[in-house]
Amino acid sequence: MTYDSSRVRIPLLTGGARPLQVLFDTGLSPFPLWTTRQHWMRLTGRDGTEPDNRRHRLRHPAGALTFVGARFRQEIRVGGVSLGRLDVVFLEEGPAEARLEHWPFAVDGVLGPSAFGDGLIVAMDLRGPRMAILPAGSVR
Amino acid sequence: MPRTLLLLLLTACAKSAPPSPIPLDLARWHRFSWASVTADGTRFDRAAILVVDSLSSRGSSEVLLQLDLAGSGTMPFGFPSATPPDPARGRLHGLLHGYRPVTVVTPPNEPNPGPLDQIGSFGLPEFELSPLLLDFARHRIGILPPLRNLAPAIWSPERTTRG
Repeated sequence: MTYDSSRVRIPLLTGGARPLQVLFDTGLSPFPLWTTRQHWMRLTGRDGTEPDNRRHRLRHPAGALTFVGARFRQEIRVGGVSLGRLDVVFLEEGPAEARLEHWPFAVDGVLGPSAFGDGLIVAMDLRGPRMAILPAGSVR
Repeated sequence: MPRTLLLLLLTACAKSAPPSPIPLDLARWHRFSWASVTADGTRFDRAAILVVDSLSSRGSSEVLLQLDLAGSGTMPFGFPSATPPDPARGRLHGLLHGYRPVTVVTPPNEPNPGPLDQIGSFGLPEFELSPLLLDFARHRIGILPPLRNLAPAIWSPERTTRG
């Protein structure tokens, strides 16, 4: 992981040529993984127009947001730990400022707390910087 | 029983035994609750992590705080935005800012905090010196003491991602 004094980015291994650098999130987004449309298409093998995609419409102070979601085709890993096959969304409609591609800092996605499930413990040390993912019950 | 077979059996048993939990005498465990929000037909049971206990490092009385590691309070709407925050109370930080009610799903045997008047947030600055543990199974947040390598076994190479 990296820490730049205001953000934690962790590398997600998705089977691609390079890991996705995603924000480690605990409440900004309710989705397990929010990424760009380009990455979403690669991760899901879809183009976003499939009728069985999930659509989430959110009312929002900055304007309505529509997210499109589907299940990733394979497991996503952080280091040696698998997070399983996550639901992945991209923002289809919404204000430009909401799109990850337009954020003032580079980020490939946002990994939410629902990605981790009940079977894991996440340890984060900003001074390292380092992050460890442990099985539940491994800390007394 | 031949000695070789006994040795093989003992080795197999040793490999299948679960590892012992890492002892961690941590005075600062905080129970957390999930915030649940229904947004236009979709229920998000894990919309945010809320800490009901007071944080001893702040010296404050009991408050309800949203753990906000991605934004640390700087992105109340879930993305960088020039829109001023909504002063209405009882709202989450993030993409679900516009939704009420926010239901606090407390762990078993935990009291419900009651109506939500105000939800504050805490983020990365809280953990500049003190490593954070998020135990999703036991609904607890641990803050390790600063500048002490209390549990080096946590950071084993096979499960640690470094910068």
